[in-house]
Amino acid sequence: MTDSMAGRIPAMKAVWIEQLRVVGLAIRREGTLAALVLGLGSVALIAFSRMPVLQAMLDAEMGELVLDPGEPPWGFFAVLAGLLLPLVVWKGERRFGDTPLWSLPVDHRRHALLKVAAGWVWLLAILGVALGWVTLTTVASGGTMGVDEVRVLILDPVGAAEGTPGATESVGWTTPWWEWALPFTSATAAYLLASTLMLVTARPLFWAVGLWVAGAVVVAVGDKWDIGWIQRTTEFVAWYAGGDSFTRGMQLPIGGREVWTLLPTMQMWMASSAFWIGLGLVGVLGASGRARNH
Amino acid sequence: MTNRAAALPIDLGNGPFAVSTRGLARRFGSTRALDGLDLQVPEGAVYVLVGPNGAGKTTLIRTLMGLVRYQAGTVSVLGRDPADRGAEVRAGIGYVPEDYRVGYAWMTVGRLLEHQAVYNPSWDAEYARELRARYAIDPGRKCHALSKGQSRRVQLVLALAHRPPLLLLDEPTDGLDHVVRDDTLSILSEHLADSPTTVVISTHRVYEVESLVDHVGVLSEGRLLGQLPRDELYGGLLRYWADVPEGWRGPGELAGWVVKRSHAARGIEWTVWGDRNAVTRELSQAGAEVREVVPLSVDEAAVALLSGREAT
Repeated sequence: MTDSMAGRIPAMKAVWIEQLRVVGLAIRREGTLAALVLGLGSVALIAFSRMPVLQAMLDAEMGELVLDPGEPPWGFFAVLAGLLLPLVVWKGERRFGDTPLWSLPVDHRRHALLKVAAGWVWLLAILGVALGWVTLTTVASGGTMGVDEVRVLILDPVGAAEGTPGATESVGWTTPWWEWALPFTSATAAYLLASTLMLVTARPLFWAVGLWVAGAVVVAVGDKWDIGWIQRTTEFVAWYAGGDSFTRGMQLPIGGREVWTLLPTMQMWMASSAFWIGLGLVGVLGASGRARNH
Repeated sequence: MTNRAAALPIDLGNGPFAVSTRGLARRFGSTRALDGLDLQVPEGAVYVLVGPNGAGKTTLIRTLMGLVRYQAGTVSVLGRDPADRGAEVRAGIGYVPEDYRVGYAWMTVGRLLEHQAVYNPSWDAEYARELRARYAIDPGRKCHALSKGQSRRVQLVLALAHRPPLLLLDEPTDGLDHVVRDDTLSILSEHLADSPTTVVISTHRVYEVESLVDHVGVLSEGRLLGQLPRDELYGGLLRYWADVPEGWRGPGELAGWVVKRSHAARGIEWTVWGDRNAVTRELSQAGAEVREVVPLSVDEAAVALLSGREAT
């Protein structure tokens, strides 16, 4: 050490690498647990699919395992991982007031963003590994990658939010390349929105539930009293930019096959991804600014 | 009786100051935590900030760290404004917060020291090891498993090991037992001897750090009652014991500021800021027989100043 170094701020690259390490350490326990569950589940699936004796013993037959990255449960797990990861990323980190994080010689806003970004990198890595693992499991169990046919629910009238399960038709379909990116984009949006809550409130779960309930009440009020602007907003959020187009179409369980209300398009995926990721980015950028103003 | 002398001084001259504020103000709702504060900490000084709970000490230190934004006035810490250049200011500060919880609960102490080293390019790893050994800190221990005293020791290592030009210590001996407290003060003394450092210590246990201190600031309700070198305080703030006749009303005018006054049956015990000879002479001329005049320790002075405010 030299005197000239006293009072020098650290290089951002060093802080970035350290945040990657710290977040990695923070999620280590939960990550190990998830890997264990995934590993055991895979072993059980492969064993079950490859050992007819086991199937006979349990008097159960296993259907073909089909991996379609945009479909539940993969899309659901990706979003869930994105929503829950911020809780682990900020584990043990007091986010408000006189805390060790804000006492370090880094601009508060930049520091918050670096931490969120480090968590995001880990999220992508976790999803990548999980998807890779599930792919291996699918192949090892004799399953198939992607789907070649879907059933589309014909809505009456066309464009209605609900239809009858009976009115369906089979359509040829090949899982497009961008569906493999879909778990990453939906998890990214969920992660950014959850990170926003982590940065703006000391009680993120309380606010998450509160916002969800408030949204549900607003939608119910809009439906009951036919309030046009609420219905239009709901339609926009739920359909054009919302969960349906974000993770594809409406799904109804008919004979174990998936039923969509319309075929997903790359344009819809890009639009909804841009909307939710953009909203998350605006949220995180705004919330990180709050760190400067105590 | 009127006082000819002014209250305790607040202006320490032209510096240079490691820390200075002018008219610093911060409110929390209707509470004025800092109310037009003019702090001056000379470079190289060990400045103790004394005040009761709620006086504004912690808010002031957090403001100097850039953790609390001020609403009025100016602040300069190591020549920079922490509101605008917080990162650079914090890079020059070793900070021991009032809260004794350290780092991440799940992290080991050894990893926490590595973490801190990344953030401080001037980290002296050898010195950190030395301090850790001296404090008998187990690097493999998880932060959540540390006792209050152990956490404090870890915080001190984190604050000292990068040899910052400024130390801000908020109740640094809080939670330490007598042995560790003495060791801490001895480490601080050695650190100050080895590294040119300005220190601001906020405490309401002045007696614990009195041997280190060379400047004193007394804070009450967000305002400084006085700010001066310790030697000046010793020489100017004195306690006078005197016998007085029955019905004694005191001198009409006094060349000093009576900080605190107590009456016994036939005697008085006054704490006065002013010239010793002049005050003694005027008390005598008024009919009091001055028996003893003693200087006050910093702790006693703080208590007198804080408890005797109404006497002014």
